Amino acid sequence: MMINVQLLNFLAKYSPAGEETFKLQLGPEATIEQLLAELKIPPHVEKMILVNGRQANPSTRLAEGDEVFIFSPAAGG
Amino acid sequence: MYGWRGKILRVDLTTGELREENLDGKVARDYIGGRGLGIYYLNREADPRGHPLSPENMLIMAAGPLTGTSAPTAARYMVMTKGPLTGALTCSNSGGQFPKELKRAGFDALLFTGRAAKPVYLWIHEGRTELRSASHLWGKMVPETTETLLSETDPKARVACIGPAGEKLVLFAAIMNDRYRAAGRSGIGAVMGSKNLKAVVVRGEGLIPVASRDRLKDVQNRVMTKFNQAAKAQPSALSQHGTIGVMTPLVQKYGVFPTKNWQQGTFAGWQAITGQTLTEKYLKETSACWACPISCGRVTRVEEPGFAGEGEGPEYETAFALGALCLIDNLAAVTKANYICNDLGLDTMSMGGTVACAMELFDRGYITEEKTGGPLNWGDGRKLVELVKMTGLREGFGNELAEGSYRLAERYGHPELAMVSKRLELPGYDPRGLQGQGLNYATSPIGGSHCRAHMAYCEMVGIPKAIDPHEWKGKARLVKLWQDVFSIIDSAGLCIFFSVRNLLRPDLEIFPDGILDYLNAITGAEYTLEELLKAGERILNAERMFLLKAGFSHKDDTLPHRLTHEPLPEGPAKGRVVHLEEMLEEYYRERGWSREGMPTEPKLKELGLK
Repeated sequence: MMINVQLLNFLAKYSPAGEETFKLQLGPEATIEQLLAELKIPPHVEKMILVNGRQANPSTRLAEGDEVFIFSPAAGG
Repeated sequence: MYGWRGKILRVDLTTGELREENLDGKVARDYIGGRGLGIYYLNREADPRGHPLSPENMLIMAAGPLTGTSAPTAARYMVMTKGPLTGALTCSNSGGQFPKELKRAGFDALLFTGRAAKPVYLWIHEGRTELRSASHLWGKMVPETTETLLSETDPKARVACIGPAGEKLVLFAAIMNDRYRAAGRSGIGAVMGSKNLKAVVVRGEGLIPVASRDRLKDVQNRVMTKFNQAAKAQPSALSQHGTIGVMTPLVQKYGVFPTKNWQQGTFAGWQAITGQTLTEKYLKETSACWACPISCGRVTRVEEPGFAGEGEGPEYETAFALGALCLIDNLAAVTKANYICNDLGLDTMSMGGTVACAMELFDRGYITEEKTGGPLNWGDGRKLVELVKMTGLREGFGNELAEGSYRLAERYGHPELAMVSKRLELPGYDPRGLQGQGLNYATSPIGGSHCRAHMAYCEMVGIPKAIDPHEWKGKARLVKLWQDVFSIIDSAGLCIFFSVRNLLRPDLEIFPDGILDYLNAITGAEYTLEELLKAGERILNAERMFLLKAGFSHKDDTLPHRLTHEPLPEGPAKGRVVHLEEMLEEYYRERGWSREGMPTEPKLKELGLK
């Protein structure tokens, strides 16, 4: 399935082609955990994940066309 | 005293008398400083029922015990008075360099009463205080006022002043310090204008005494090592792209970006007005307040014809209010409107809220071109720039905008279109998708503010921990905690941005451990955590008492009808309204207040307010 991903600010360094916004092909029923592994975002990197504007966690299952937005709470100060 | 300077200055503008007074040690300890000191004096000496623009209203500028010290972001001061826009208490916070200078000059607070016969400014330097004529400055913009004052006093002095908007009693005029920093809300600039007080100029060379340099060094090492390590691992977006870069993408993604006078929660043109775009197109350099390691200020320059200018901004709240709220996706126009607000001395948030309200009145046919002097269409950046100028000078239709959105909407028969709480224009986070933020607006002692508590930190940003933004149950307890802790931050003289991330315990209780350490090292007051939390609660309750005495009641703990009855039409928070009634009931209980929102006798006794 194809999903849309946006990695905000410095997290864009984990983007496959360096773009902040990109599309990504994942296996069916992939979870956020698998997405993070695919993008090689290490677990210690502090992050918030939204799927279609709702907070998600590692076990959240993704579906075709989902909008995934990942940002760092370090933003606030 | 350590940290505190132990002195306040009373300025009777009617008689011209200046009188220094000692700060009582117990008052300092119980109310901390800044915002706490402000409410202490207002409750004791001001008439809560008096007219905000009468000579009797008291205007207080107060710094905290940490202000001007080396504690990170200890740059803040608070202006407190009864606000003309709201008729409520107001406390408006600003940073920069002026507050530090005030402390170095030896004062914790300045208390202004009366009205000068002719325009004056207060000049404080080398232990001397004097009122000088400001007749030659009346009518001058903020930059020219500032420069003239520096040239006739001391180039190293610091200036807080009003522009033409404050002189003309625009109900949301700001007090500008260091040219670009604003104590912006509720019309405190108009209070200064009503007193014929154009400016306060301070030069201070004294050092702020610290109780224990060794302890301060220890706390600094601990806090700053952690801060620096974190910044290295994950660069702060606040430093890189400012508040406009931090908040804009988040509100859009959560669907809580107030757009088209709160008719939508997402803005199609959001990317045009985000911090990343500002960095790319207009950023010259960043700027920092005193002792700040973040440097979120944006020094910018715009060259587009019609919008050319230089200055600071926009912050997120400005981009939201002058941008999305008016459906304007032209960052040059937003930035130019921001520059003009800075020059005239206007609150950008209420300015944007009022223009958006006027645009909706026009869109719905409630107000005609004859009144507005031409079409007032959504998204018109040129019109925005024109209206901002007219408002600050009270020219044409600007004279009606100068009264704020509530009075404007009421005049045309539709007060429900004013997106305010206690008549103060709301900040840029739609509480239909951030329930706690709604309670936060409705119960803020100054009206619609995100600075007397900010639930979007946990509901949206994930600081200190993420919670479900759509859930309303259990939020009341958190709002109370955040309000009490923000009272402490504001009273100590610190900036919220640094504090929430670095000086609060990283769990939902948000105990202010780091602030406690700084306060004890610097003041030697040896607060316990419990005492400090109690002080925060005391300040909030003292403010509530002022509001009640001013004639406010639980009926004023409200939100606009749109937010509690009109579901968001699109985006991730589609279909939601704010569950205010349910949260309020919980909130009063958590506070130990009656069902009518009155602090009970036992609560007042517990806090030493009775």
